[in-house]
Amino acid sequence: MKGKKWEKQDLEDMARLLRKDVLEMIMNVSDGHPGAAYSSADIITALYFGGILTVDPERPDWEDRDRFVLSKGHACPLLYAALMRKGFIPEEERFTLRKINSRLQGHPDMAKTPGIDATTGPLGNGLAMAVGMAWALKQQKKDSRVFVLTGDGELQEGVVWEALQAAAKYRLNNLVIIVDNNRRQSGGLIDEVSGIMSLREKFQAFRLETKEIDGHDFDDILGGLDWAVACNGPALLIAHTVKGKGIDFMEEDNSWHKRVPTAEEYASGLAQLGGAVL
Amino acid sequence: MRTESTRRAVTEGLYDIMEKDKSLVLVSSDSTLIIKAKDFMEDFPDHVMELGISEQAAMAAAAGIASTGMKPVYVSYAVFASQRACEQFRNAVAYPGLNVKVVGANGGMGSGEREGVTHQGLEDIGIMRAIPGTTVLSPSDAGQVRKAVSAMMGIDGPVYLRIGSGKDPVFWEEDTPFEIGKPKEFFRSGEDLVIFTHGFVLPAVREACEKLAASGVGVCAVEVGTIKPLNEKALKPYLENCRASLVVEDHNVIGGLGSAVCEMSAALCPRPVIRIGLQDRFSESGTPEELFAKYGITPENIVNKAQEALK
Repeated sequence: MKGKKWEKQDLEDMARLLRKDVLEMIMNVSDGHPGAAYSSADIITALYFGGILTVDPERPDWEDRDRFVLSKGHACPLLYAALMRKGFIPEEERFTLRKINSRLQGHPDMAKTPGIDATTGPLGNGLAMAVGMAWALKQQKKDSRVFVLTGDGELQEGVVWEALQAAAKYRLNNLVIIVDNNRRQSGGLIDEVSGIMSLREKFQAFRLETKEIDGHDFDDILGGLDWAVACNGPALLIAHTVKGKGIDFMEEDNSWHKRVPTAEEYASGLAQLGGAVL
Repeated sequence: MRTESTRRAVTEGLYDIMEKDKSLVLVSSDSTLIIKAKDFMEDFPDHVMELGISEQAAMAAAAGIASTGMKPVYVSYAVFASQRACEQFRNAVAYPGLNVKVVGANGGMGSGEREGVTHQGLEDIGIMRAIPGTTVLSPSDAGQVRKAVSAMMGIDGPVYLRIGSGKDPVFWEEDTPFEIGKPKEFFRSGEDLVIFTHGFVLPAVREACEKLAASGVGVCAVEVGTIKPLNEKALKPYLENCRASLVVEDHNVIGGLGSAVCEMSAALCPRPVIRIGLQDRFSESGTPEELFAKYGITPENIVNKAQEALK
């Protein structure tokens, strides 16, 4: 794959492969959050394979790398799959997910897993950590950028808005925030669990450059990321996504927030994702 | 008794660090005035990240800063650093073992001035001590705090440093070192009774020791400025040689040094351990003297408890 110019079709194939990896990993350990991983799949694929993140699998701690913070840490099987396909983690390690003595913890662990830049999972914290990183990298006059992917349910956490205040105050133009706006959280539809979102208005009130994209269209994702990187201040993309995207019976069915497929569902899911050839 | 601010001592310690290490960052949740750091902010504006009144984001941002190799020192009140931002400290800082230093002011009721319970750190040591990999320091005067700041920056990992109100009694000679993990004996008339203590109650403990010694009791007093990791090797002989031990601290009796000594004693050398501090209750507003008198951290109470323990 190295040196190859990635066309839209290649990215779609990679995203399908990563979804397949995740299905196999979750099935193997009988635990995980497929819905949340699948709504983020195309965004994470674009970051790692669409020429956005400057990272080096040979030097996971390279100090001049870009950072990626998966604030919605429960989607990490997808990130592990991306790191595996990128060469940070050996392929054979994937079935250690969530098992004893594994580097692939149930939520991302920066101290254990090569390529993980932040220990996340407790919702909201990742964004605040990313703000600290972006501030510190600017202070050190580095060109590195910090990308953070948050859930939309996660935005109910107060620490998110504390962090956004600071991002705006310091005009962190090396910070790109992507909201995986799948409109669902553990307990159901966000509209029903927590009430009004009005995300765009809130972000704009916090002085963030804000743009909405289709989180499953690579032209839109890459165009949005290019726009965000070029912004003169902290930029935020609201990515409209579908929870469970990629397997028809998971899409928009919130029971897949945390659920393990039956053997039949597994076979059907694999068949739907089977077209990935790289 | 002469007082000197342990808060300002933190800023002085930061100045000392900046002379040799420019990777220092002061992280503030509108808390720079706590340590009277106005001059530091003016002298090193690029080394201060001010997030406004937002302890949780400040703690998590400190983790992010540390992940880039810089050395953040986050300052807040003990109660907010250890409780409002506790989860961020536990998950974002301590779990990945990041190099973040946390300074908590108003440690104890005596250091809470007249602010009252809401602004007094009464459980901070117990909470921070319970988090794996965290070093917990409680120096006992301004000179010691200045040295403790330098010492903690030498640790590659999370440290919690407890400080006071800004009107803190000077106890030690200026040239007394503060070494992490090294207890300091400051009184000895014998070994029937050992008193372990930390923080700003040392003057009361010394006065109690003088009274006890005058009445013929063999007592020694040891400052345990590093509450975690507890130097069991250095402390165990005191337990072995004594008939009973007392722990005196401005903290809830649950979770603090008293608990740490009980754990050590139970495991290594069973002895009666009498804990003097807040008896699992909240304090209130008042002067340190009034509060210590009402809640039992007085030389008289220490003497009484010591005599009971030796009966």
